[in-house]
Amino acid sequence: MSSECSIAVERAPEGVNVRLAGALTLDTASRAWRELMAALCAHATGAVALDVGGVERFDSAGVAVLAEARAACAAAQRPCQLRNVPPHIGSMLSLLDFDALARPVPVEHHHREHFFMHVGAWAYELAGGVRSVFVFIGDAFLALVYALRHPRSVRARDVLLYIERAGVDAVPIVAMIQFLLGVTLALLGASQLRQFGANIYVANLVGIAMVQEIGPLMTAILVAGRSGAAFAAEIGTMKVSEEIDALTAMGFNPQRVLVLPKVLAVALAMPCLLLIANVVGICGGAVIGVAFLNISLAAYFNQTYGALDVWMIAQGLIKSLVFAVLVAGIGCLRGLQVQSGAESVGRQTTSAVVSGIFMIIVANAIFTVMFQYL
Amino acid sequence: MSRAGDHIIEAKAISTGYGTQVIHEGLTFHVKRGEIFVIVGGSGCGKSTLLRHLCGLQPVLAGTIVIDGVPLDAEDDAVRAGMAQRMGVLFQSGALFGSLTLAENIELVLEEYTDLPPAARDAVARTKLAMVGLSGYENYLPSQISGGMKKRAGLARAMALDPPLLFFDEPSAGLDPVTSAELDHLIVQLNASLGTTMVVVTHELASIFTIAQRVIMLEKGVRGIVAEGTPRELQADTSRPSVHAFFNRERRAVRGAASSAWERCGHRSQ
Repeated sequence: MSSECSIAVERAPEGVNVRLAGALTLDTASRAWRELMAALCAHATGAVALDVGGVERFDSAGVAVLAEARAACAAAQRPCQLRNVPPHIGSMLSLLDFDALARPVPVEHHHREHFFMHVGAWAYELAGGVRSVFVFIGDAFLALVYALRHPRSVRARDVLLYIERAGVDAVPIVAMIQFLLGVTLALLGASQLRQFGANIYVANLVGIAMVQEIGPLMTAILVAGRSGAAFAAEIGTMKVSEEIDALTAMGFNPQRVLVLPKVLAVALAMPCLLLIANVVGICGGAVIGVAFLNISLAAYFNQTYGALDVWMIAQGLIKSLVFAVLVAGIGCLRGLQVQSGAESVGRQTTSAVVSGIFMIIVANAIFTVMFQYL
Repeated sequence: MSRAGDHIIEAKAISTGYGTQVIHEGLTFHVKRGEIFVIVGGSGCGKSTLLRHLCGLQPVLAGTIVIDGVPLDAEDDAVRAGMAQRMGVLFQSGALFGSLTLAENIELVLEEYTDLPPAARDAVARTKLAMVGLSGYENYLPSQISGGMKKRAGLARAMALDPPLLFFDEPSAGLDPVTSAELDHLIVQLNASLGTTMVVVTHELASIFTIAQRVIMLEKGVRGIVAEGTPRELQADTSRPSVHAFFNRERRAVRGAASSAWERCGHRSQ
């Protein structure tokens, strides 16, 4: 059996006869397509007879080639008919309306959208997003009020589970990063302070920076990357598999069952993580102080103790509490915004991390300015 | 590539399961070229697991599956990729890609495995959708069509490369009886017109009697095949109570339900 397709064109009194023979399948369709269209262009007038009597192997790609040839003839207002249709081709053509197939509906591809359509769609999406944020905040607030009035309605087991996942499991990575940041900060500070013989002030620099800025910021960014994304993916997948609809149908409030335990858990875990991060970060600075700056361990910690006060530590804790609510809330919101399908889950998970980190930076800037004037 | 005579699939003493959990042991059967072969059995007997092994999604624990003369566990990547192109799978939910239109779902496969120009890919996708009765739905997203249409579109995608072998995992699942019957009719029609071998997993009696040319029945406790034959042969078989009960269950279930309903109302069934 031939694995090639041969196309022979001959003139006929009423137009042109095109004899197709051999294999008209997926493997040969590309070449057959080009040759057939070229033949129809070369003989641009009169009726076309497509003789498929010699076609031994045929599949749906063959149907597409024939349908396309017929559509091209119809567009040029040329009669076109199939001749000598063997049974194996006839049985395949019997599965579909060949005439309808030769009048194709164009297949639309998404990338052909106009620029202004993109802008319009983006603005529409943005407005919808802002609205959904306000609806979410309102619902979450109502859920919180309900939980405060009925504390037993909050599933303590869920809260503990998420404290473990978002807090306890994050300790190693948070500690490692804060330690390395403490080391880096101490080395950078020392390179400048050494010029003034003020090595001991490295302890002040590391202590204040850790407790007030770097600690809350880095802890929140890490929790956004770990738990914000996880919450969005978890709730998003539940939405795709209609689990959230099932909860609603059973009379549960998804905000109370899904969102509140997560937000509460992160709000409890993040300040604890911050305290660990602060201690480890200061220890990182102490390692550099002792090893490279000839400061004794006692002197280093004494200096740090003197540089910090309770209000500084409280500022960090206030920030981390707000960051926690932002990170967990945005993660849950993005999860609830999933529409359908895996692609939407991926997009909203990315958005949970990006918008979570963005909101942390914005809130941090507001806090820093606010605390300067307090 | 060598071609194995009349048998497109040969399962030789295979054991199926996950990790250390063995579901079937020593299964030996074959599927003839061009037939509709149906795997039946009650819930939990491992029908879908066997299908996953047959279409190469999961390696067998023991034994060999030979498809078209090539062992499924072939080491050569090119051979395995070639085999993947020679079989299509229709999953229970259709498993369409939600972000792509129906036509794009089909074109994705054509783009990967053929050198067809974009216009030709469009035309082939339209042809496939027309074959399953979805002309005019080329630009719809899977979320915009019904469950039955999703299955049809999934079938069109499974047939994108005109494979000689198609696997169906519970094609009737989640469909109403009319839509399910239409899908069964389509399966029979495609088999008759294209000569495609079809391996179907189902427990729907109506589907079995409509589409099956040959059936094997699996049973949970036996860990293997308990019966093999045509649906009529198995229905008439009284030697095995479980097989007889399975193939005659509809009549008994209807009779049982009717009598208990009458009894609840205080009447006796006639």
